[in-house]
Amino acid sequence: MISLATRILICGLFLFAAGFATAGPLDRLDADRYGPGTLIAAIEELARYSPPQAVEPLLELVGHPDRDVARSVGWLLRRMGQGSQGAAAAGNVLADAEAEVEERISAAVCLGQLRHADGQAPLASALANDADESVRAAAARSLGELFRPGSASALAQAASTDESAAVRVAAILALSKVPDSDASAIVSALQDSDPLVRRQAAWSLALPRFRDATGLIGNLLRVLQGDADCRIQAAAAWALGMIGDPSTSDALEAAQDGGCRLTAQAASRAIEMIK
Amino acid sequence: MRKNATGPARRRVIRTLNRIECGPAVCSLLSILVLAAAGCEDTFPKGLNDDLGFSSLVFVQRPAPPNSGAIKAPDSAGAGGNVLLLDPAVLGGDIHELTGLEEGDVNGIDVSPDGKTLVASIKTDPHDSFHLFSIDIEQARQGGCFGQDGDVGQACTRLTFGPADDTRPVYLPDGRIGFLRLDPFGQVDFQGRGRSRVFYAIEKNGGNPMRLDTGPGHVFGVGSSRDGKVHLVRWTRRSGASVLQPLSLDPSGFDGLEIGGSLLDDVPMGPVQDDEGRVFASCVAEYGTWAAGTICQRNQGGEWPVVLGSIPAGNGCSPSGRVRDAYPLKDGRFIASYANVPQGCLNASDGDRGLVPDFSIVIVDPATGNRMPIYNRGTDADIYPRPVVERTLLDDDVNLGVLSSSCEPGGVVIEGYMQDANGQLLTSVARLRVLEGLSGAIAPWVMEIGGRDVGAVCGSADNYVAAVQADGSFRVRVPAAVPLRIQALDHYGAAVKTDPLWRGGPKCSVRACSGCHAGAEKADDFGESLAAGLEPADLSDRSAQRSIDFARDIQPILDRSCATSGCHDAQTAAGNYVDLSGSLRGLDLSDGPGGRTSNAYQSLMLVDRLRNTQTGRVIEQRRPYVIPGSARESRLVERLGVPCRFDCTGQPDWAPWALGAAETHPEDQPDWSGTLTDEERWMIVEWIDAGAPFFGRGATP
Repeated sequence: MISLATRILICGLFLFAAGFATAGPLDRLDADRYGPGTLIAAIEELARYSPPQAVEPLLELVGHPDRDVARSVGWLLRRMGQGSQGAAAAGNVLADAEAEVEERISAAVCLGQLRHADGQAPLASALANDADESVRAAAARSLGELFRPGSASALAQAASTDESAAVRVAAILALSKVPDSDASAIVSALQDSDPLVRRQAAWSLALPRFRDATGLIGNLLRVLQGDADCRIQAAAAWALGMIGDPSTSDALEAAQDGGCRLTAQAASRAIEMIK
Repeated sequence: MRKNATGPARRRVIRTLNRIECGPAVCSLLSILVLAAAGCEDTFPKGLNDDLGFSSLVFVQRPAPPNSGAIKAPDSAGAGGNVLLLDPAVLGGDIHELTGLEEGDVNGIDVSPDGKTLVASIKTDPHDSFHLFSIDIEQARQGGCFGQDGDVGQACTRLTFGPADDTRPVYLPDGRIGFLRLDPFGQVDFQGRGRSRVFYAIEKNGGNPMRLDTGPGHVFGVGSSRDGKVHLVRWTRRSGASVLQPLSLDPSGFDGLEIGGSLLDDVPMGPVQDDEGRVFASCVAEYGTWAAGTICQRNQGGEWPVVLGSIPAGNGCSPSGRVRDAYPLKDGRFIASYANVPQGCLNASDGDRGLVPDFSIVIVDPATGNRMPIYNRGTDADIYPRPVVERTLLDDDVNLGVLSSSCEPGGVVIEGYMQDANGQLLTSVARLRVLEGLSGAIAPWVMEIGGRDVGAVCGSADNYVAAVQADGSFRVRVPAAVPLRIQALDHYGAAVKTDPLWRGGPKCSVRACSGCHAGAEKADDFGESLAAGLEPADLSDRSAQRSIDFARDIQPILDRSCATSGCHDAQTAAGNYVDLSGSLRGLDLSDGPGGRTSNAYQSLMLVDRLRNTQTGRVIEQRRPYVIPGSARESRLVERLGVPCRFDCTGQPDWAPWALGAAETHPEDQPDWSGTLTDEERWMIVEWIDAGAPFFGRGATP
């Protein structure tokens, strides 16, 4: 025999569960009640028909601490033609010194997905001024995702002077994507004190758009032959293979017999590519 | 110092433990108690898992599983992964760290067919990209995968380089390694959210990278089957909506030949084929925690019904009971990674990533749902378990005995014997057909018709027929840089066997022929064969090609002989039968628009299915009139009959696998004005064996 209290409890649980089962995607855009996975699933569902009523709750989520949520929000707002509103909201979060670091990172990520021109200024400002390196790195990456001219100088500045290697890596990657950049800052980064910055520079210099850069081959060869870190030598070998200049074959042949096994393996692949 | 327990009594204890099925806590406790009583301590001799066909396994251990609780972010996870070897593969077996990464990560592994090497997707530092590494298992267990100054050790060879993330490697049936590539400078994805994840293949040494998928969208869920195909799932857009589409890929093709199918609700991740030819995967829900769900099995209709419970619910959270990375064992059970969420995950309001599941390695029995723990460490995610065992990636019984494909002036020369894998001559073979595939790059569209192999409409349109010598030997010269497939034909012109792999010739598939001769294998005794002294049959002449287009070549036959008034026209649609859903259907072979193809084409390809109205799962199905690639199994040909075509002396006049002349279709009698000619019957056979393409070459949209 089930007691009355048990029946009430079961009934309550059923109604509770039914409430969740029937909650529509608009209802589920509630960060107070739902976690990131549920929020993202709701955004995916809303993307099928993009109801205008979703704009307000989406704007509330531009600085959600989970950056995957913010990324999805930026994407859907862009699809709904609400890039300007989204950029304003995310820009405010990014510029808010009292916002949590995760919120500012998310706002930067959201601005990158919005791809709106209005996002450029707050991102550049955060890249130059934010106290947290993770926020600056996120801002750099998002400037690259905008694919817009006008960010090259800010990114080049960050690539050469930011104290954080993570920011410099992100800035070099972004420089490779923005249309008005040249290779000079990236070539200079081959001499960076941090090996991971040098590796990113070598990777970026393999892009076809930088093939005519001044000193490209010579600097990559210097890295191949002189960098103390095998990973960076290997990145330079790979870049030389991608560039495909036959004049580098001898150096790559020599690298196959050098001290680093990793470099030898990369040089072997690079020689195949050149041939 | 650990002790080795090798006595028969201890073996019996371990065997018994391996057969006990229980919950992880109970089993762990039981194991400890029993082993302590038996004096086994915590290590066991090799070979105790002979029943399962392997003695050790490799897996990945990381602080949290990729995409735990997250949606549509399969590879976004923190660092801290390593590849581990459990030897022997039993509870309490010895653990050997193969990679020794301190701040790197691992995103997918696979064991080579010879069981000696594994390929792993590894990043060595947080800012690194994922690259593929080949790891010698025996050397790596002694240490030595990574050395000083970022170098690799003797046990490891790095296969890919550059800024792209190369993940989820699998050994392909043709010997190469396939993997997913996400290039930060690559093509923007179909939603404009990021970059497309695409499918690549490289040689075992890392050389000759080729992108094999050709369409737009992300691909994931890579696996292979022993018919030579690679299976993927593509997330793309169709009619304005994002959809999940299954792809089967012929990896040896020049650009890869894609075969699509019905859209997916439940998503198969990383299919694996067992020794009996069954294909299993871990199926996950379209929306939910990706990469973990339950075990499903591919049926003949290309559906993926689950074989273990159901996919645990949880729209965004990670409930206990999810299974990922399932690998079928010889005894019908699976080794898999099993999710346990200590606090439970009851509904969608849970904290999602706040409830990171603890994945452990288990053996699970789909018949009972019981699971036996093999390994678990704390709350780490122990994932991607793969037995270290020799395995076959390609079915031997469809090996046609092709010995070599080498570049010669004027094309690729293919020579060999029409024989089975045991070297026995296929005596029923009268001719050799070479199918030339349409590249997926040329025809990037996909037919939306359900049914097995129906996507072959995208390929194999052109073909040639060449002689096979009395001893089964042959030599043919075919065009270079084109994916080719060999078929053995019987005396009636129908395919007895079809080469499972598309062949492009060594290097010839991607480059000019110069310098390609090296490496071609020659059988010792081929020089003594009848074909050895002959000039190769030249099939590289485009004028010798025969291309069959449905609208141009097949529909006129149907119009004249079948879709006539009172028969299979639209009004009559004779051949009524009650379909599996209880409706009366007829076979309408009239011309006219039907989706992207035609009415008649759709009718011939229709797979009659009965589905569960609630779940959509296929309960029962009947094969279509036409099975692309197999005329001998196609009901259409069985009904029509096929007269002898090649070397008919001593052969029955009509194909014994179909109806004879006296039994042919009632209205298809010799004295009927609309009867089919022999040539028309052979053309229908040829069209079906060539993949039943709707568009022939030159008619490709």
